[in-house]
Amino acid sequence: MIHFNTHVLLVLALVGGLVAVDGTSFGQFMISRPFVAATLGGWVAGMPQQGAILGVALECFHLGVLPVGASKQPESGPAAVAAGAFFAGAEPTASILILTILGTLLLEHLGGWTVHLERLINVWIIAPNGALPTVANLERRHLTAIGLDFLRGAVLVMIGSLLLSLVVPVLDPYWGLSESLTNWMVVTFIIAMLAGSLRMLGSKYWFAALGAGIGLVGLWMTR
Amino acid sequence: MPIALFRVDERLIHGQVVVGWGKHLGVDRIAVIDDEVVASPWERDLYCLGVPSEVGVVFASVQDARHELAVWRADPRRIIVLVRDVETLARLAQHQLLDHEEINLGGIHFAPGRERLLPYLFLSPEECERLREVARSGAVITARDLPGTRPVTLDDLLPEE
Amino acid sequence: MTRYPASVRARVLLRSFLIQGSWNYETLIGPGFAFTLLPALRYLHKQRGESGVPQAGGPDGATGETLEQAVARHVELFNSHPYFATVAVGAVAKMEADGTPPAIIERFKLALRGSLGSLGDRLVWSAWRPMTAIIGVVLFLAGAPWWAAVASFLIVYNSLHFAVRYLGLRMGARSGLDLGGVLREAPIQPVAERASQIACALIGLAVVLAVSVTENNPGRLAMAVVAVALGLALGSRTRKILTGLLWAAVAFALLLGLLGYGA
Repeated sequence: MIHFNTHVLLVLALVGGLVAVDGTSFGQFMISRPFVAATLGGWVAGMPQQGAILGVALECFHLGVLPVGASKQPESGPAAVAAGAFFAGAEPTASILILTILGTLLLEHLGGWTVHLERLINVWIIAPNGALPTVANLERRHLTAIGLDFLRGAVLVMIGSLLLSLVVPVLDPYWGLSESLTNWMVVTFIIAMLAGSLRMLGSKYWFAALGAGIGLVGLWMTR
Repeated sequence: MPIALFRVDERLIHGQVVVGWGKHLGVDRIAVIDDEVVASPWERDLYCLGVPSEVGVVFASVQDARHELAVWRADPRRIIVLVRDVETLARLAQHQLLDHEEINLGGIHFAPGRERLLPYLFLSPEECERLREVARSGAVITARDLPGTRPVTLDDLLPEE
Repeated sequence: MTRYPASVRARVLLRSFLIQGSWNYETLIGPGFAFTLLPALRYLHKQRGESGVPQAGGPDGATGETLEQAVARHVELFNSHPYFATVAVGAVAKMEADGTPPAIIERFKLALRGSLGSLGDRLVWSAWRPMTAIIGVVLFLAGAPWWAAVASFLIVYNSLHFAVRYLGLRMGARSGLDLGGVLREAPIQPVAERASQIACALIGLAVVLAVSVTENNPGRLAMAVVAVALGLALGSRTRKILTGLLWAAVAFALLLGLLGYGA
């Protein structure tokens, strides 16, 4: 169980703010991708390796998000930081993993909704009462919007990690499937997501088969 | 083959059209109907930039497009037709030319005088009236930005006052 | 930007990282575009103020426009891919320096808006980013330490990211209105195509590795085949439908537990 002392919460908020702005308003260096963000969350909780395990699963799920801007997209960054921090402090069982994945998908939608809300608020920050920015206030208004985005991410990560650590441990004892069956389920989902994203990449099935072949040969040689 | 997508989008050719719809529908050609772009070589160059090399691009004026539409509909290749605004659409729709055509409202952004109806659709009262006229001439109008999102019919978009 | 000093060019490049900072539903990244261009506009108008004489074809010589008016033209609606936006910023900076009429600059931005978005979607969002993300996934599944997998993804991904921002700004600033012809020569499509091929091969590899890290029992091959078939059949709807299946699976497992059939 992650210990939410002031120090951890502050660092989480900082990381959450950073991955939130990375999503749109600052840089797009892709620290907001689930793999990186969940690992960062795990790192804050002291277990980056376990954050990365969750991150790989989340990354595969996120590959299926159509990469062109619809009006509301699930937001990967803050959700993955919160989930990585929670999962790193939790027992690494398959049932906790699958519950955390589902919780993260919900948090991604909550995140997407706050992004939508912020883009509405930004209309007002940029042009209060319809007055477009001028030389005198353009920079201040623009930077205010970025600051708001940072705060949004910080709050989202704190709420998200608290929610996960309140809900998942309550549900987990009722998990009625065996550990190995649950493990299977997780891997099935991951593989299906990977295969599903081939279409988006232009359905180059021969290349996929080639990659699989290389993998099999590699496994056979290292056995 | 019927027109794969007939879209009103002020950005004309862009990511949602090329990646979102183009890959989904497997199109071979994109037609841009715009009197100003057709007359300006450097603008045509810029619009073509966004298109993968295996997809062809045709530019036509509204006048020419009124004849071309029948040719495009008869052609076996799959085509996306793009117009920039409601005005161009209304000019094309004269004399029932778009009867039974499905029209997709894909993106008209904010400008003074326009009201927000959807996150990607802002229309002025005049534009709403023109759309109703186009619908009365037989066209079926829905708003939808991407293949995966929910379509909104014109009746839901513009409830009769 | 041949006419701008290096310090101005550097400031524009750095500001481009914030170009989407005030993304909003009315003007999209228009204010961000003006924010990024501002050091160039300030420089031009300072130059004009110092020389005092309006020169024909020089910085706003013909129009006598103030900085205030120039900024007002650029805060209005604009959109683009965040990395490729530097192409537009560079080209507009050159055209402003050349004294191109504002109406032409406006049409130029309008035509560029969709094209740059489309280029970025095709090269970065739908090819380069999946490819590099899967590199990270494959490395981690193959047993690399977490930091090595994360760092590989970030370094490979951002090498193209920084190249696009920097080269884009330079290309825009050199070509101005001729951008269409010049940008067409850039090897964007071949890179996107090759990246998609590599991404597909890596997906094949990742599937094999994912099976290999699950515990060894006779059913795992059948499971993998079913999972691959499911993904291939669902295609672009995979995420939506799998999320639904995930809900159903979790509900089923919890119900079993509640009824006392727990593991």
